[in-house]
Amino acid sequence: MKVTLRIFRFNPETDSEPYYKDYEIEADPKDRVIDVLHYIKNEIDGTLTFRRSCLHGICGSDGMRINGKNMLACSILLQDLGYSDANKTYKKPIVIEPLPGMPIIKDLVTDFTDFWKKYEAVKPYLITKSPPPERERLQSPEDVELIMEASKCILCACCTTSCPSTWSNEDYLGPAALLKAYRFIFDSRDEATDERLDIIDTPNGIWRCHTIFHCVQACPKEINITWHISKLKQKLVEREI
Amino acid sequence: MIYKFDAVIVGAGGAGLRAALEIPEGYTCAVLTKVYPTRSHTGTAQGGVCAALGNEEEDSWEYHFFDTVKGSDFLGDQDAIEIMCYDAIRAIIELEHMGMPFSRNEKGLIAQRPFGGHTKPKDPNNPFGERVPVKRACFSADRTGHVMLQTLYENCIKRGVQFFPEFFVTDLIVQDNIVRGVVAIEIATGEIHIFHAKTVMFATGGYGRVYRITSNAVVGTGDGFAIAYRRGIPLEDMEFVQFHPTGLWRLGILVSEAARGEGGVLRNKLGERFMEKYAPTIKDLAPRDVISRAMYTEIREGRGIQGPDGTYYLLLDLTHLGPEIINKKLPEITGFARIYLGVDPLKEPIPVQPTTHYAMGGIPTNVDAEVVIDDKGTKVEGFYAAGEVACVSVHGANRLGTNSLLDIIVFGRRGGKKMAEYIKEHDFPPLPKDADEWTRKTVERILNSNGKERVSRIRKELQEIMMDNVSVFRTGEGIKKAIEKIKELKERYQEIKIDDKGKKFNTDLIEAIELGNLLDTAESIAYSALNRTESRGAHYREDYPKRDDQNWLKHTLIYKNEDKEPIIKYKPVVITKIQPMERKY
Amino acid sequence: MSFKHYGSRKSGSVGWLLQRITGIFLIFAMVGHYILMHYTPETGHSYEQSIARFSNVYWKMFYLTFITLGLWHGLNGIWSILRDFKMKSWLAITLYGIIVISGFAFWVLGVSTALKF
Repeated sequence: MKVTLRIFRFNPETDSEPYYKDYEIEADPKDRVIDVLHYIKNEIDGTLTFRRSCLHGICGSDGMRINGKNMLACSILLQDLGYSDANKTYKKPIVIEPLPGMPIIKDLVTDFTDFWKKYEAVKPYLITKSPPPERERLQSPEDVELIMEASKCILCACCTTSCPSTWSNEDYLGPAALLKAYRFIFDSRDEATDERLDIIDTPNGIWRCHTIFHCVQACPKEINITWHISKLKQKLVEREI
Repeated sequence: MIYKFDAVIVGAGGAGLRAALEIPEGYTCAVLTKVYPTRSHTGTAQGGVCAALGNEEEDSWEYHFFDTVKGSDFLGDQDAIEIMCYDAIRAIIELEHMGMPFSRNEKGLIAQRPFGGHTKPKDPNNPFGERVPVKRACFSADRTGHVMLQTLYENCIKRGVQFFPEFFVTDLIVQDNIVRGVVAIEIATGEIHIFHAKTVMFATGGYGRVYRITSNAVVGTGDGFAIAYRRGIPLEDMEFVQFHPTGLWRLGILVSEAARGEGGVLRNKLGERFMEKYAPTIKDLAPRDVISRAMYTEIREGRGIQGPDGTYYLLLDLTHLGPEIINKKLPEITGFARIYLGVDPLKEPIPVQPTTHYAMGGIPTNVDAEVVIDDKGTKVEGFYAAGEVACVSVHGANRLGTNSLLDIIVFGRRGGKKMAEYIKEHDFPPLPKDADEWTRKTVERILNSNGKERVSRIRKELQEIMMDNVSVFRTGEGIKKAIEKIKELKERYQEIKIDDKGKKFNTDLIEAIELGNLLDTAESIAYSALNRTESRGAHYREDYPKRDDQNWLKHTLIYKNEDKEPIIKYKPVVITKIQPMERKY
Repeated sequence: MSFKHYGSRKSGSVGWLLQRITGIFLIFAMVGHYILMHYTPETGHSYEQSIARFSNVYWKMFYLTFITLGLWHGLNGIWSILRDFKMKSWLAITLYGIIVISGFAFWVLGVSTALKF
């Protein structure tokens, strides 16, 4: 089939303004978006710049905005975007843009500096005060189940950059950092719950979440992030009362 | 710019991060990575990490040791294997204490499951008698590598380790057998930097992208192998390339052995569980080399299934496992099957084919991750290697599943400890003049070259020829063909032209340099494979189908020789407790 | 970008909870209000019946609660929306002041009306 990719382009060395460029290519409905991007880079235009690594949705490198939605370019087939007829020439282009709300470095590559700062702000590591036992700390399967979904997060930033609260206030911690906070607050081994709750219970913290659910829609790992954030709110209220 | 660090670690996967945690306070340490640390390839490991914890049933590190030696087809160095299997238990507990979220059993202990090649004697009083599969792989659903990478990175954040993400290392500064640092391109700006260091560790991962079908990330371009090789450091046992039996058909995306550990079986066109023929006792849990060969044989003998594009696949059947096991223990891989092939593993079997997976060979090191360049154990001062890029050798001719995650945390730590000792005792060696000369010239040449060759074309031709001639089944003739092709491609590589001539975030340039690394790595694989005229583990020569302990129970060391044919030397295998025996499953 | 707020605790949990509790109250109160005022206007709008309601102590308590919670819910809602945006502190203080003063003024007005009868 024939499809057109309309790709956001910006080279800081030569362009004063970003622009969109169309590439008409031959593709297969079963191609991933990352495959067609690779095809363009390999065969047509080597200047096209994007991040990618594992190509199967676990490294979190290739988050981008595809037809208006944040997703991983390696985890979506053209047919899932509605380009499914192998014999057709599609007029409607596939629009590919960088993740919104982040500074743009080049083409589809964005600057993650603030994203990582927020990640680090929630102390993303286990804190224990009691001395470790000789063997493993015990956890029931139910204890682990509580944090399993949260530990799936690949830090691709699809959620945080899809959140309207982040768009209006870039200082908002955002869903990814809050999910990381959840992962440790609800880890039965962690002994710094209060300290962690203090971090998210701030004006730019959890209360900027208005359960808009964009993060849930955007998450390529299908994590119900809003549910996790709600559990954190519950925990905060319980602490206060 | 010239940076100065006591320790420079190249690569932020499991081995690099684990090593970084050993650099003591008061000394400076930089971790360089060409991606962001959490993007490292360790994160794609799925099934588990082995240790004889005995949480599910009786087990012993000695059984683990035996399995690893046997799995390696007796090419693994037994002193190193002993250290790894013994240390495994401590290493897993340590990870748990660091916060790694393991799956748990009813007792609240780390859960364990069976994995390919991991067994114990049926009768404990007869350790060399019949063996049965044992639950030894510790896991976190099918995201073990992902949570391990996250946990190690989190602990590095806690420690305040300094990272240089998206710094692409291009060269090792080494003179008079003393390492002095590395040269790196800062991808965001295109600037070339020198990292002056007392110690350097390469933890740069594998080279899967030498082949067309691979489970490896696009960044798995063998950079560490090629850089060391170009700098006169030998590579050990490069002929041993692991093909994982179950890659998603055409894509090569890994479907973990855990799928078979949990009870999945392989079937051919006739619906037969064909592994019963090739490994009667442990069947679908045989080591990877055995299964990959069985799959190629099935396809050759006409029992593969042909897809619309003419290529063949076999089936991984999980339909009998039920939603409970599939959704709880194998959620990630079932997601892959659904997204990429439109197959629901609950209802239909998954089309699979062997996929290039792991490099058993690499930069030769001793058991403390110190790089040694000959059979006498001569060290390169201040140079360390750990993880997939290193060859200790614990995997010998074939790695057992779950031993790679173990390798990185055990030898990453040991290497880190040695680096810590070294930096306390040594001063900075002086930097040679023009330390970044090679990198500058290479970058200039690529940017200014106006040839007619495209990087992607050369890369593709390399991947095709390697896949066709230096993969599961090999012949002398085929390998020679590959060598000729590599020579041709190397010449054409001098005539490349890239589109992007800019400085900032020039991935076109990075890919061109990576291609050079792929070519050098492929050369070392092909020559080593041609040289070894026997079949052992993952290296199967159809023209020499037997293992030949008389002549070949030794490690290959391959040295680059300018533009001439590489030089091959040997190193004895360390055998302590187990004499080579027939390898049957 | 400033991260100065991270870690300096200023709980929003009580406000968050109250917003939800008052919300639940208002759902029922609003339904009653709608039925009374818009679907049975003869009863709702007639002078005599209104006076009668205001004279009833239970109705009076209801109105006082309605005024208090409704105002608090609405103004707190506006404030929490405003806080989603980055503001210079003088602007934030001014807006907060307007909300508090107007809230208080409306409350006095409402309460004094309810107590008149």
